[in-house]
Amino acid sequence: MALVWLIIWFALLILSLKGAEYLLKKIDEL
Amino acid sequence: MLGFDHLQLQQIWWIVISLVGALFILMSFVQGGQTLLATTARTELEKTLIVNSLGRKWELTYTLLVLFGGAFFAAFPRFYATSFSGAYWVWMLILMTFVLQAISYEFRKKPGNLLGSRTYEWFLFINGSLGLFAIGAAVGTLFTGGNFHISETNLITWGNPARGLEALLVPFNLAVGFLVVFLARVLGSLYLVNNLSEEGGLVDRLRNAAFNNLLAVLPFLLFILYRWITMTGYGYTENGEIILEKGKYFQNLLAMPVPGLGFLLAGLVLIVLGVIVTRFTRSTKGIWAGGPGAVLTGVALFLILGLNKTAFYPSRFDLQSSLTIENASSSLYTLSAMTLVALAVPFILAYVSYVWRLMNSEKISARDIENKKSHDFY
Repeated sequence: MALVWLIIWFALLILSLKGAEYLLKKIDEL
Repeated sequence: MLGFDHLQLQQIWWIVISLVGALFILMSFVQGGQTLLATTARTELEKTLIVNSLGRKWELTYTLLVLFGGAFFAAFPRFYATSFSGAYWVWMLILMTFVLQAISYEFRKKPGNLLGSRTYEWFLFINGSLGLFAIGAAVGTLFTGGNFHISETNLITWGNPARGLEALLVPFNLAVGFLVVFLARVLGSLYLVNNLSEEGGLVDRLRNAAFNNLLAVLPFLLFILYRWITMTGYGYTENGEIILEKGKYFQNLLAMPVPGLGFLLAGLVLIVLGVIVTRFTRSTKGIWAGGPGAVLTGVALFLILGLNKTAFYPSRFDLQSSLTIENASSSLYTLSAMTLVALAVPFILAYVSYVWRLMNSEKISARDIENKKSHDFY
């Protein structure tokens, strides 16, 4: 179970970092 | 040993730590630049230009972070023991992102490495965004408090199973985290505009990014200022009892008109000036206003945190466990000895500035990269 949580946690982390990268790109290009 | 009493030495060392912390904020332009790498560089050449510009400086930023931790360890060991063992997961997260940074500069262009250069650029982005955000949030907890209890024998109990990560649920901590990330991006843009010899394309995008990221700083800055006025801070009485004081941090700003409010305002004005000069003129000198501005702002932030009878690491879990410069510091003997040793610091600074001048004697151009002339090619 702990492993599942770890994978979910990492997936969320990577998704939010990707989202952050997208938003920062938008800010820089405004 | 030096004629200073204990309290004076504690104050001197808090000022030293404030200065080192503020210099780290300035040097976070490396992390800011690492996120600009992902968002402003469009070609492989532009990416390599940015990485090579930052690659000459990243160790200085890292060293300042270590120096900041080291000074805390030596001058205020109870804080070090409390925060690094109690808020374990936050510090591990920060350190892991810095490990990613170190290997990325080392291996990005090494032939035949396991991961491609894109992976290392992604690692640099993680360090510049997540790593810096976590540092900002950790600094935020110095205002909002951690969940710890310290026993009489200095055993630390953390009152939350998230071991520090719970700090990410406090809006003030998040605001400091975002502020640090966007300020680093402002400084990163100013630095790169100054350090790259190219005009047009990339540099124009960086000039634009400096201004846009400054606008992104504003809401978080206003929120932090608003919270400093309204939030309850942690002070202490003559006999060391921790007390709650409404608007404590704003009062501290006013109580230190020059190094508090004065440095903060002067710092912010200089940052804005540096950005405006960079965005609306062809000048490349914006970092010479923005950089010192970041240092002044940082010094003000740390001074109001620890001086004027303020607990610099309050506990939300057990109020009387809160740490102050008086109850968390080293002994009179240790602080005196450290102060003597610190007299060598100007020589180290002179060496750093000498090396810096050597590294900056030529701006980095696309031709250097294409010819691989630079002997320290990243």
